Amino acid sequence: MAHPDPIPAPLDPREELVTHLGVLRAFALNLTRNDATADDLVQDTVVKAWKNIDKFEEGTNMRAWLYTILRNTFYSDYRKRRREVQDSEGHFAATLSVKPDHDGRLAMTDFMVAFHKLGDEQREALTLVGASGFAYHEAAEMCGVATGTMKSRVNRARARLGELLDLQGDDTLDITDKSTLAVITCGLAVRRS
Amino acid sequence: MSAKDTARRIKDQMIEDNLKRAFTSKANEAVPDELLALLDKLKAQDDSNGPS
Repeated sequence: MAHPDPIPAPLDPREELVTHLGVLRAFALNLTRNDATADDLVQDTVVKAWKNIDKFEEGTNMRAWLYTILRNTFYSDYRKRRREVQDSEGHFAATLSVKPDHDGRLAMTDFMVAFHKLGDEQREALTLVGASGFAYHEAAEMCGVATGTMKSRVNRARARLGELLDLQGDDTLDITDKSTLAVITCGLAVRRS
Repeated sequence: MSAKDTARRIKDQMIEDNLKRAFTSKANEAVPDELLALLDKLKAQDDSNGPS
C-alpha cells in the first residue's frame, strides 16, 4: 500500500513574504502614481514586515497583512510629500509596458491617465477590489471602514472613471441591435461565472 | 435587462479588465535589484542574530 505524501511544512513567513513582492509593487504604484516612489514604499513595507514578522498570525492572509502595512506607510509617511513627485502629466502611463489593444478594449494609456486622476481612496478601493480580488469586507477591514463604505467608494470610483473616459452609458454604448445585445450579455454572464 | 443596465455592466467590465491587466503587468515585472539586495541584507542580519 502506498504511503500518502507527507503534508508539506508550512512556508516560513519570510519566504512567503518574498512571493508577494510583485503585487506589493503594483499596489504601491497605484497609490503613489510614481515608479520610484512606489519602489521606495515597497522597500519600507518589506523592512517593517520583516521586523514584525513574529506578529503575523500563521494561517491568516499574508497578502492582506502586507497590503495593510503598505497602505498605512503610504498614508503616514508618503502622502504628504508625494506632491513633489507625483505623475500628474501621465508620464508614467505613457511609459506603460502594457500595449493598447485594437480589439475594442480601452487603450491602456488613456485608461491609466484617467485612473491616476481619481482620488487616493478611490484608486485604493478599485485596486483592492477590482484588481487584487479582495472581497468588499476584506478591503474594508484593511482600510478601517465599513463594508458599505467600501462598496460606495468602488461604485463612485467606477462612475468617475467612466466619466473621465467618456464612457457614460447610453452615449458610448448605444446598443439597439438585439443580436449584438444578446452576444454581449451572454459574454458577460460567462465571464462572471 | 435594459440596454442601459447592459451598457453599465459592459463599462464596469471594461474598467475591471483594464485594472487587472495593468496590475498584473506590473506585478509580473522582475523584482528590482535594490529590493533583492535589501532582502539579502535582512536575511544576513537574521543569520547573524541567530534564530528568532
